[in-house]
Amino acid sequence: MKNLKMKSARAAKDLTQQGLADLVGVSRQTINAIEKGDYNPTISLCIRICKALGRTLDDLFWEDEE
Amino acid sequence: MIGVGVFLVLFVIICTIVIAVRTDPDKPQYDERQVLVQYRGYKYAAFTGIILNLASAFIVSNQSVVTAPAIMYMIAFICILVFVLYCIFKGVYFGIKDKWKSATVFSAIAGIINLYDAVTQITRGSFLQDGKVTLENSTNLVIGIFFTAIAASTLIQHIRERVSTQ
Repeated sequence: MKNLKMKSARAAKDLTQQGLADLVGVSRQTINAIEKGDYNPTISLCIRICKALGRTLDDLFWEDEE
Repeated sequence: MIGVGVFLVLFVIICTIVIAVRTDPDKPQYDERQVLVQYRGYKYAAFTGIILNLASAFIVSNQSVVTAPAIMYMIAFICILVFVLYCIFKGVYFGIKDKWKSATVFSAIAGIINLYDAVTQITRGSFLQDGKVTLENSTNLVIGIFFTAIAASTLIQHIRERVSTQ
């Protein structure tokens, strides 16, 4: 499932995929894979992404019931 | 005695290289997804090697145009190529801060030079030795194809990524 919350949070911070990748220390392809739902990141990477985007884990990675 | 000496020299050289690579501060750094995908690449390369070795056991004989050592050499390169191409197309071949452009240029140069040598051998008629493809005469062709394939696939993947992000 695509992670549109993360994509919109990144866009709200005016960050490119490469910019976010540099902030959290991963490759651009990994950020792309997370946003496309092709890769489930570890909790450690989730936390780094949340800190970089100023959001909580619930905001970005909790799937709504609907 | 010479054999033991050669072994010791090789052992020291390999140990030096391993230590230098492991302690290199500029060594490639891979993120968690890249490491996971690379493991899958190792698995596919290993399976390719097993299947090709099994197939060669049935196909290769003394009458074959390609000699057994050349077949083994080609299988080894095919296994490495499977791993490298899988990693390239999954975006995990280059580390987070690796310079893919210079690596691609070096691969292309190495590939073209080796392919040129191989084509020269073929056009001169010196490619086959006693009507057979041997380890010695197939080296340029195999390495040429190997490096050219790496350079070409890196470029293709880069174009695909640019298109997908636009």
